[in-house]
Amino acid sequence: MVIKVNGVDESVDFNMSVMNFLKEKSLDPARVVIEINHNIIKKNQYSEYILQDGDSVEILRFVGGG
Amino acid sequence: MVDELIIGGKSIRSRLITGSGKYRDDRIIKDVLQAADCDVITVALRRIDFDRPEESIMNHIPEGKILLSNTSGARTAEEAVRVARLAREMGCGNWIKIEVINDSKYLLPDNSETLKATEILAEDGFVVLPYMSPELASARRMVDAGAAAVMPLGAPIGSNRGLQTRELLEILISEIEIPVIVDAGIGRPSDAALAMEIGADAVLLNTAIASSDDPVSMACAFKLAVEAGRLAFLAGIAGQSKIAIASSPLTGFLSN
Repeated sequence: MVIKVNGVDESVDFNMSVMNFLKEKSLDPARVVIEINHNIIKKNQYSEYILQDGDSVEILRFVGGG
Repeated sequence: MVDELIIGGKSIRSRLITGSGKYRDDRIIKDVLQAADCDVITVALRRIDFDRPEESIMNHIPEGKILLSNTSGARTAEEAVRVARLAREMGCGNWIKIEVINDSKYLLPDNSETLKATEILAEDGFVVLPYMSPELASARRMVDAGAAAVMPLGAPIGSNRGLQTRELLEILISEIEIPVIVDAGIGRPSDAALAMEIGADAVLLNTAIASSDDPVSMACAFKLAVEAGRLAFLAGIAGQSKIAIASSPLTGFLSN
């Protein structure tokens, strides 16, 4: 299935949880925040939330700022 | 009498707030923060770089600091609220610097949208520090809306032009009862000292340290300047005179 991640289309397996997606991308769950279809996903839901076809996912982290 | 700075119910020891952006090498940030001896640091929220998944400014910020996430990138109150709620979900606290800018030339904040975001986020339990143009009516509304402090600018972000808005800052300092933190435009330690001398409660700066030749030494200079300025303010700065007032009596000279 195809989801959009940070504005870019990406093909992912069915039944992929957010946590597993992060692991595939070598992302530390503690260092990111995630919004799917404009809804913030709570960190304690990363393992339960299963990505759906057409999901629009935003994955962000803290960077330097003033 | 203890000279305390209280923001959002928390006692803040250092009146210097530093940013974490614009460093040529992020690995210097740890040493800069030590030299600055600050308690509060600003960060921003951006999309992950999938080519460098391990990258996070959090890797360079020591434990125990208060993180002040900003909503940079937001052009409206709605976007600022969205960014703020995402930042809070990181689990590093609920302090938020509202930065709503839809002017790409001067990066001046939109006070009206900033006020809207302040109302929503204060209601939602955030400790809200709105970055704003120094305008008294807007500042009063930010207070009523539940801001924990107001952060009026001295000059455009990154300009290093000092307190171009000095007179307006002095008005806010005089009339606003919550902490007034001068944010943006501070270019040199003397600017920071001046902000503190005129009664600001704290200063926030980033470019002046990050873009200097020696950020660690500059951070130390700013730490000292903020302390000096605050001490001077508390000591009561002497008034100015148009004519000279001699340091020693004008009588009792040795005769020729």
